[in-house]
Amino acid sequence: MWILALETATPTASVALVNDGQVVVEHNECSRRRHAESLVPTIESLLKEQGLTPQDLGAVACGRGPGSFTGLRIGLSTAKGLAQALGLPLITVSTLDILAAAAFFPGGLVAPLMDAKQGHIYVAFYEKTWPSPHPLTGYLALRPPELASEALRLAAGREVAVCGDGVALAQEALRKAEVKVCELPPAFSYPRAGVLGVLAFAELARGVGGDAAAAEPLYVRRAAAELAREAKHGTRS
Amino acid sequence: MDGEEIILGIETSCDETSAALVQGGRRILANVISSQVDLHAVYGGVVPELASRRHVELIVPVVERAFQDAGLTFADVDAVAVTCGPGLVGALLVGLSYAKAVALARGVPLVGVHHTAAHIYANLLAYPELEPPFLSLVVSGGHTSLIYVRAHGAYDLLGQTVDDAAGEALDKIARALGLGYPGGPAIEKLAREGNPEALPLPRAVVRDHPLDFSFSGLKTAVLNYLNQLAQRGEEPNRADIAASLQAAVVDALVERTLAAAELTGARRIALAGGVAANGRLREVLTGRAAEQGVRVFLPPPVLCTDNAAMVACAGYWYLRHGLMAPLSLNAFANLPLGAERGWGKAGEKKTARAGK
Repeated sequence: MWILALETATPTASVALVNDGQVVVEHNECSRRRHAESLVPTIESLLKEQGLTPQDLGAVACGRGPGSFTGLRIGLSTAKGLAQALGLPLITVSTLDILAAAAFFPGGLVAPLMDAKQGHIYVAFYEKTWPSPHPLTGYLALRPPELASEALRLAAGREVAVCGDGVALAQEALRKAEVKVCELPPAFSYPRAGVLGVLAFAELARGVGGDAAAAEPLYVRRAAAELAREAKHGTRS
Repeated sequence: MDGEEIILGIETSCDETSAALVQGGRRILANVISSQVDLHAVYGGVVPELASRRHVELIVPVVERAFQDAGLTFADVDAVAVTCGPGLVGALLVGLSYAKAVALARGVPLVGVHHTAAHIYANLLAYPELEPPFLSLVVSGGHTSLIYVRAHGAYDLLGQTVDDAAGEALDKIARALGLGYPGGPAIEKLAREGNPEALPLPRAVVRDHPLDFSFSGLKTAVLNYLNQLAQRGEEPNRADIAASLQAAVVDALVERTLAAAELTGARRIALAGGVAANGRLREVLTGRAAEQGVRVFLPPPVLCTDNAAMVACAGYWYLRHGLMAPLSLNAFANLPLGAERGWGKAGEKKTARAGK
């Protein structure tokens, strides 16, 4: 079964075709071309290269963030359009789960760190078990000092492997808190659609339905206007 | 093309998520509009991030509903038309990304439609006999423009507002009068009980540009008047203010529109945009134009709001004239009317390849 996988939560737009759990082709682009312009033409050309038509697909997979709000919506709206028009299941996987799955680090913890802007970092902590990482926390948006104390608490003396474009932002705080950190090579620093496709294949094998209407981005952070209104009125709307 | 193509239209430029199926550019088979007015009302205006989030939630069920209403499936769709600007970029990108994916999945052409063009084409849905050339007055919360439609997809901008849009001026005064958001319909309702000559308001003229509009002076005059009353501790007669304001706005719109009709020799005027639902504007424009032997076309109010049927209708005519878009089409906060011609060439290649 062919799965088309899309991941657009970060500045790198990643598109892959995965056949029966095997990555056949993966295209990663971090260029001046915006995701909005490049994504659908990239899908079109990858399908063509493989001699496939959209009707040959068995499922669509999409990274659901956290990440750039606009990037997430471009990817997920595209995935929804494909899945609905072709009558296919849509499997979504958290972008942090994709990063954690790709980070090989036996024994310790893994923490993908993504730049969330405005002084925050998106993070989740995982126990690196085989075949898939076991999450120790939910998906969080933390300031560097909060992140460092959480890392210290969860690691309990073990090493924490970090990857992602948020590493540079967290380094100082992690060093101050004396967290034992292992920085993974930059190849692990962006979420790859091939990994997503493999995870989605496993989800489908487990019988996950994949309803296109219900798929939603994982924003983690609420809209600035909502927060400002709450601050003013002191209530949650 | 056999003239009976079915176009799937998608509209997400602001705070309505809408999907429509239109056959032959005339027959509306479905036009589903999901409004977010309640979501934004507590903020006194549209919050772009919240609008974008809601579009992602609604796009699949809204399209699903359109197919149910029409009794059709994706296999029946001959092309996908989508609003690509101007508007809120984050909101536009939801509909645009979705539409591009559907075009790719079904192997049908993509048509990118300018939001203002879509409003103008609402008239062709209501009046199958209407064909270019004609004059159009587009008037809404974001636009006040006089456009000469030379041919399908070919527009001459004759005049536009140099400051506030007409609908924006109405909204702002409505807020000052405590009438809530959106203000246009509230002003119209209240104006029925008021005297339109009670308050002498300025009719601004833009120097050297007789077909341009200016509404900020009018807005300021009303706000100043309200301040003066407040300082004197007097209660404003809100109905008189609403009636006088509405009369001043309608006068400016009608006068420029008739001047533009005379200049271009147009015998047909198509009214478009949200403010086109205003009863007084419809009545005064129709009456005054008739005196000059000019016919006014008035789309029904449901087609004056943001909706995807008008997008599908524009898409049908663009398709017939070879104005297709490439799959690399982006969304634009600002977009000149007629930009659709610029990406026609890449679109032709796309159509040559497309097959069902």
